[in-house]
Amino acid sequence: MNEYEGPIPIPDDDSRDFWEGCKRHELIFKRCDDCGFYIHLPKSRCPECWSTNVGSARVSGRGTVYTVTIVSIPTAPGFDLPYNVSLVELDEQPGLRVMTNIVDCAEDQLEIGLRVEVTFRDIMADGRLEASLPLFRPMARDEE
Amino acid sequence: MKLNLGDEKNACIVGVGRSMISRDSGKTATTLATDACVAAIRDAGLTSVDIDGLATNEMGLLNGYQLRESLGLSNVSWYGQMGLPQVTATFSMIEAAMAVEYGASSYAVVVMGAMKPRGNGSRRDPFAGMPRPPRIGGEGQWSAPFGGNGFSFVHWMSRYIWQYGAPRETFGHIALTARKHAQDNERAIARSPLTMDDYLNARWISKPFCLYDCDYPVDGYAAVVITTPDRARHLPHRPVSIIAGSQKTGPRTETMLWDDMSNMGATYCSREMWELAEGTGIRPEDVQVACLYDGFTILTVNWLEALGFINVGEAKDVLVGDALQLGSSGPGPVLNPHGGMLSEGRVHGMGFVAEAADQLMGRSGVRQVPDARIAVVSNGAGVQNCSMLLKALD
Ligand SMILES: [Zn+2]
Repeated sequence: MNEYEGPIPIPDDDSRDFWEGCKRHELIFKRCDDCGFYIHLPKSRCPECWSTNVGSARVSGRGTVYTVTIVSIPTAPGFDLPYNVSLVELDEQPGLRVMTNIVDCAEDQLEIGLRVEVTFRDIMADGRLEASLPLFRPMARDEE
Repeated sequence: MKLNLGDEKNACIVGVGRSMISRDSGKTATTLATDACVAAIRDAGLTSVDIDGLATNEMGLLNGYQLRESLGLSNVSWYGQMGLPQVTATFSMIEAAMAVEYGASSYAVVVMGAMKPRGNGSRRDPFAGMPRPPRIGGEGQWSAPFGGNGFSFVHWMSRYIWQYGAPRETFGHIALTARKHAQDNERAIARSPLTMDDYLNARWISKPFCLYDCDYPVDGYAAVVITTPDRARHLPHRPVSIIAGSQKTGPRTETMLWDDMSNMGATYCSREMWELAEGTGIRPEDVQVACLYDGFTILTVNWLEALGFINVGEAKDVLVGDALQLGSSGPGPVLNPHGGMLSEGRVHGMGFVAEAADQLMGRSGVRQVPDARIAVVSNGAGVQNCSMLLKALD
């Protein structure tokens, strides 16, 4: 894998748990302690029940490709063309989706419905871990 | 939403104007918008002192104060400066129509358009001069690190194709129809013939989007004048009544997280628009002109299905041959007789409003849809979507 030169996320108060979790190679979402709803994009109040008892919960990292596009013109800096951008829906909750790239996958295998699992790409800067991006790869057959 | 108040009360379009449409005008947004407004006000047989309402929105890069100054309008008492999440031209139309119907404005101008995006970088390296690595917060932190901030609507097309098994030709038909109609529109930016082979062999932009699935960026603005029907009857043109309109933001702001991404916000506002029009007896099969948003071909397919011109998922069976084209003997309205944003150029939503008004006034020349009395105009996609129903008064 080439060195990553693309955009680096700037965490905010709502997203810090997510990005810090990624650095530990854990996929973490905000989750309502009262009704159990996973809240993504992250917010401090549950949009389902308006509870402010919002915690964080680690998910399995397993999901399904919901949509995919193969980008052929430069729309973001630092990406070699063409590359895929996919939405992955996590197993934990319908509609709990993240935008990501599918890696370790031939283009003719990459389609809606593909079972995938999270893998992390560390971005180093000045010898320290700057961020880690949650990418997804096809799930090993015996894990499905 | 705008309610149907009946022919005696619904606000009417009485004048239409456009700026030049070009790839590189060398003019400012304010200059082009001013050109469009002056043309529309003159077309309505009015002068600057008559105009007391002005609506535009941030998507059009326009500031209402500057535009007022540029137009020398000294009597403006009602402004509509729209912002996110509703930045469509049709939304500005609905707001202005309600202002006129309520008496807040006697004659309102609505203007909208777009400037072709101009970055610092070149086509080879559009990000030249940006700091590396770029750091992105806010909503961009969820897409930019994956190179995904460019074409969010392509995910809807990907999902639609998967859901309904639509072939590429379905979307090609939208592009070909726009180009065919643009050949009779001297303003259109793209008028050369386009074949299905051209479409199928075009380069990928973001698969499944190819080049011809994407609208044509231009510098261009359009404007209309709106007033009450009693005033409209004393003006030069056949009044075009704004019967009903709806804007709906859909179930969530973040469209990537919608329950069903094969449909879109069109579903919600289309349903409401037809409910509001129930008292008129007008139904989808009564519409002769459909000026439907075509920023990407998938969006037009979505609108056609949401508005009831095609059953959901059946576009692949309907969008063949000369369907929805001027001169077709088949069912359905004529789709975007001006060529839409795909071929006339991306005058954002206002190009659709201007074309529908001209068609219902009966002055579209060689591309006039015969006996055009009823039109639907739709703008936008996802969170920003809005549709309205227009009718030519006798
Ligand atoms: Zn809750």
